[in-house]
Order: sequence, then C-alpha cells, then structure tokens
Amino acid sequence: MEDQKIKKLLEDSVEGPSYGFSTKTIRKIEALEASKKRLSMKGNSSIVAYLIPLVFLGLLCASFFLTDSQFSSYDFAFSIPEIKTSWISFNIHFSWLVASLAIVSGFWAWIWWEKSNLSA
Amino acid sequence: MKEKAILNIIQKVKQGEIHAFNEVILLYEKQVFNLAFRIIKNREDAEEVAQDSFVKAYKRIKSFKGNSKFSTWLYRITYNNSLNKISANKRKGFTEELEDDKIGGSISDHGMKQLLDAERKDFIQKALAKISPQENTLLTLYYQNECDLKEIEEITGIRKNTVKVQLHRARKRLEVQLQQLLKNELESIR
Repeated sequence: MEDQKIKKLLEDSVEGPSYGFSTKTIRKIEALEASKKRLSMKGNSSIVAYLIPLVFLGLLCASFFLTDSQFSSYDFAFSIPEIKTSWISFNIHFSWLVASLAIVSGFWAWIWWEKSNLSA
Repeated sequence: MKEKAILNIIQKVKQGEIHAFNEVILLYEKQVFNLAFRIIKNREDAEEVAQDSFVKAYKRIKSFKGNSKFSTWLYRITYNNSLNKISANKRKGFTEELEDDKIGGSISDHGMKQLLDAERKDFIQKALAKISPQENTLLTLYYQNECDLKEIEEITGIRKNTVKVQLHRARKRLEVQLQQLLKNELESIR
C-alpha cells in the first residue's frame, strides 16, 4: 500500500479527545500550581522564617538581661554562678547557656534547611 | 506551527505563564490523544493518559532543553505513560480493549456522506484494532504525527533500522486486515 494511501486512511480514522479536554487539563495544572504555592512557603520571602528565630533570640537576650545583666555567666571563673534578682534566684550553669544558644541556632538552621528544600 | 514559535511558547511557560501552556495543549491534544488511544485501545484510559502526559510535560518543562523537537519530547512522555497504563491494567487484570462491537454503533440520522465517513472510520479502526499496540504506535507516529525514523527512535527507544522493518510489517499487516475485513463485509451482503 502506498504511503499516501495509508496516511489518508489514518487521517480518516483520527479520534479526538472529548469536548473541553484542554480546559480540563489546564484547570488540573492550575490546581497543581495552587497547591504547590500553598505548600511551598518561600523561605526567602517569608516573614515567618526570619521572625521565629528572631523572637527566640530576643527571648534569650531578654532572659540574659533579666537574670544575668552583668553577664557573669560568661565569666569562666564562675563555673556555677548564682543569679539573684529581686524576683528570681537560681544557679545558672555555663552549659545551660550553650544549650540555649544551640537550640536557637539549631532551630534557625532547621528553618533555613526547610526553606532551601521548598524553594528548590 | 513552526518549532521556533513553539519554543517561544515554551519559554513563556518556563517563565511562569501557565496559560501559555493552553496553546501547547490545543496544538497537540489530538496527536497526543491519538497516540495514547492507538496504544491503549480504550477511550477513557487514553484521555486520562493524554491529560496526565500534558500535566507531566508541564511539571518537567524546565528539563526540556530544546535538543530535540518539543513534539518528540511530548510524544515520548505519552508513549511511556501509555505503556505504564497497559502494565497497570494488566496488573489489575483489567483488559478492556477496543473490540469490534465497541466501535461505531452511534451513527445517527446525519447525512449520507457523514454516514459513509463514519462507516469508513469504523472500518479503519476495526483494522487498526487488530494490529499490535507496537505497530499501531509506529503507524501513528510516522503517518499521523509525521515523525521521522530518528524521532521515532527517540520516542520509543527502538533502533532506527528496526523501526523501518517494523513499519514495513505494520503496513503489510494493516493491508491484510483491511482486505480481510472487506472480504467479510462483502460475504455478509452476498
């Protein structure tokens, strides 16, 4: 059979998708994009990604000023300094401070990692 | 549409213009659907596969570098999706294929020409339904979607020379099927 004849035969039997196929498909793509936007909060443009660690850092700084305004905890001579204020009194260990800083920086690193994963 | 114009649309899609992709869908919906339909031989599944192929193409649009024609890239996605669908249907034990009695049967009271066209379409589809999905793929890609042998190799992963041989066999088989159907038809009206 000649090529042209087969071409004609196949052209005559062409089937098309149902009416509104392109609209349905583009809607599916739009829905996909919308869900992607909902899920992937862009870290570099999100206030939350910056605000949360800043709030934690602020709380930590505030706690230093309230409980250890002289920053005696940083004095290595005092391994177990006693913090006394008018309303609070407890022993603070240097490792407690290190742990607090580690938590904040860890939290920050985690948010940063999430951000880079979502925006990739 | 020329490849350059298509690449311009693709560029727009890459820049985030979702609606530019609608032009791509409108351009290729028939070819993509037909390719899936010829392989799967089931209308609903073919439509699902065609839709899924466009969605996948959209998702992976950034990986399209323009080294091959966009249509080749899109048909490859459709071809793989169709094969996956066939495997999934086999796993489910679902083998609803295009059978003789499922083709046609919906000719209403249109004009005589339309009736003849519908019968002719029906007749060709019956013949196509009797040849393998692989042969159907090659015929569709070569004659309907106007892909050359190199592009078919890219889409199906079958070597160019093998494609040539299989295409020749597919043509012969289609011819035999058409003759057989015609013979049966003539015998039935005698």
